Amino acid sequence: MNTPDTSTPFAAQSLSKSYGAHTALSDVSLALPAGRVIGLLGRNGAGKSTLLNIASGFTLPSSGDALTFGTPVARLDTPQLTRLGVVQQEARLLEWMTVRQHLDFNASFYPGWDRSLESRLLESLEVDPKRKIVQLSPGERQKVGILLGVCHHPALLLLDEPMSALDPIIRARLLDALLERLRDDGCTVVISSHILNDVEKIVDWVVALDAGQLVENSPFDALQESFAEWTVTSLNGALPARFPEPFVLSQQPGERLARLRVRTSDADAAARFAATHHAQVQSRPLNLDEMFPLLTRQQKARS
Amino acid sequence: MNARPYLCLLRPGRTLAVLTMYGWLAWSWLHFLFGLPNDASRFLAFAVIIPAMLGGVLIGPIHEAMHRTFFPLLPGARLALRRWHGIGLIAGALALLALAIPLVPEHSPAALAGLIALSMTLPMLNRRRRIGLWHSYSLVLIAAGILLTLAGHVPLGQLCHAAPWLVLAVGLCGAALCFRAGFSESMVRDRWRDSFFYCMQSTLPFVGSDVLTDAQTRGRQLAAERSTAACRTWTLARVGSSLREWVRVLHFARFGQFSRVRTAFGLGCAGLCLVPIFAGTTYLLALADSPNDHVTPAQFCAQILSNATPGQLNTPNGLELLFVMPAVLACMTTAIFAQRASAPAYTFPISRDRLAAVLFFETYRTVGTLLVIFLGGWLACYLIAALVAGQPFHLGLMARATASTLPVLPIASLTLALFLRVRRLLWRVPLFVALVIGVPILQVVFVKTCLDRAFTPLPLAIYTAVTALAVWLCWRAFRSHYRTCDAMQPAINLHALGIA
Repeated sequence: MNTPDTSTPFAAQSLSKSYGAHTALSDVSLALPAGRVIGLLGRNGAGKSTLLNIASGFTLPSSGDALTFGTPVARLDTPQLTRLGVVQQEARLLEWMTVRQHLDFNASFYPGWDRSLESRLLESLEVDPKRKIVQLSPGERQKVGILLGVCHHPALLLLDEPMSALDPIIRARLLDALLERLRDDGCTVVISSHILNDVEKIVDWVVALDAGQLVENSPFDALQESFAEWTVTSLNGALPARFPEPFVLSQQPGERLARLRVRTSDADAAARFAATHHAQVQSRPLNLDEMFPLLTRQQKARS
Repeated sequence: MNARPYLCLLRPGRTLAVLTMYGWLAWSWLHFLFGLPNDASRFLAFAVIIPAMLGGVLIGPIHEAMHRTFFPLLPGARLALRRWHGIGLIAGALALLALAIPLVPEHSPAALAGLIALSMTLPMLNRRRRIGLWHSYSLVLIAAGILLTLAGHVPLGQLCHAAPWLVLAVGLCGAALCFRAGFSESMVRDRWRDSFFYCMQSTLPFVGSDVLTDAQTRGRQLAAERSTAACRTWTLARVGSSLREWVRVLHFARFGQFSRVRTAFGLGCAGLCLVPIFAGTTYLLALADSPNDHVTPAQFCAQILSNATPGQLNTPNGLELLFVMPAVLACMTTAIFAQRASAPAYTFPISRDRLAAVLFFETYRTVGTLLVIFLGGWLACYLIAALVAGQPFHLGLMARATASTLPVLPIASLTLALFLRVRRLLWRVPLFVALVIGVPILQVVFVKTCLDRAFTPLPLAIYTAVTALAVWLCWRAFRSHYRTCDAMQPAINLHALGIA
């Protein structure tokens, strides 16, 4: 990485991170597009939190390069860190403070702290500013973590499972708040979450990790266009027990009716498939929940 | 429950390592630091102190299990652990007795057995163990140990000679009562309600270990939860780029929960509490030296004052202990709290180098505060002594006390630097042992040779150079640590541990 690109919020080149014998990230190379909402997907232990921690400078890579706003993560300083917002899965907060005290304390670090946004979020997320942090439930602590990460209008917002402890009503409000932020500031949001139904509503870019490796890094639209579920009805005799086409990622075989999950960007693939197998093909798009297991399966097939 | 889960709980390897290390330390401190004769050192070590330590490391994992919320759900767990702990106690007591009989031949095995039994079961009564907040029971045990060391070992030895079977009977009865109380339903029920706990063999052997840091963190959480006092208000509207402002930020994050008035009051009380320690230690040393002399309070205070001025120290023990205390306490405190002192309470939007600098200055601010408290204690001690002795107080009385605190800065700096650099567990144990042995020896040498000449030009120049070097090494350690550590858990340098 010779030329630091300050317009790219985060870029990694051959990034690896190991904890003893365990490899959390292996040879990951990517550059996050600016101004997008990026869904960071992966199973438990895939390396999502590690990647976010490296991007925020909390953790340093074992090898390779990682740049945030064009600066190596080991040398991130106030100019970069004040443009960064981080919402951790388990927020590290100062337990003895009240919510109000913590907000005031944090506000003093960030020149761009927005008090009106803070008030709006306090109300919409239903956070009582008078309560002590130590007395809050895990969900309430998560809300405070969101407030602390968002109110200074960061250019890059990293959200690590920000909604895992939130109820559906608050989750919906948080998503609205995030969309509002995007509209107003054009900031880059990276959200890692297992609640894919919610994430799907706002993401326009997908980065997927599996066992520390990068398995997907593409626009969400393109991903949606390439994945589909085909319902294959035989027109002539029994269907094969197994379809050999490489773009078939999973199959529920049947004698005359089969359901296949496929990935192909070829618009004519369905027609050719129907002609080959003397069948009728009905296609429907997949949602992120359905795509997710196929992404990892595809990586396993490739390797 | 069979032997396997019990042994797994006990962590026998660590238990043995803890006991060996601390047992040997106990004996060596008794003999070399406190100046007890060899036979008295062995007697106290093998009949009282080591058994108490063994009892502590045996009951520690049992308590650890009892403090878990799942404990009441395990059927018959209390009785099973009671049975296995009983077996462990008997086995441990017999092993210690087998060791003590040839090593302490001056005393009858019956008396030794009674003392061993009672000492091993005393730690069972400890209801809480906290690091930031000493529970009174721990203080009582420590104070009793010091008293026994300084003045009680002679009468205890005489009792063991005169009535060994009485000592055995009392010891066994006391042990039975402690055992019964320690596993009573009410005490066990009391424990599982409080999940905060640490046990000796998981923490102290590897001073600054993860478990210790975790225990300190949870201790702070508990303190925050229970605190009802008003906290300070953060008054800085905007934090700029100056180091001073960020030191203020860090200081507030750590101590903002304590009001200034309460802090000042607490520190003042801490300083005043040192007065009886100083005076009491002086008295006990004098008593040990001349047990038959009756000393009036005025004479005793005059003795304190005479030892404050340059010249001969007028007891054979020389009061070295008093003047050795600052450096030893500084070393131990720094080693135990090195990680907490060097880890920020929160993640701030500043570079790693800046964070290292902020923490460095804040740490020295804390060391400076502790020095002030210590000197304040000395000052109060001499003021009161002068009043009681009817002698005038003058600042020259503070010369020796001040000189004795000079090594604190370089020792604390080097200890911190070493514990930040040395993260591999295999090196930490010998480092810790080297420090707890080496620091008192160095301080004793300093007190005997340089105490009255510390403020002359040449020693002062040497001291300045040594301190500057130590502080520089400490700064380098801070900077190196924070350039490579995992900021999610900055107290642990994963690179230095070789796992990142």
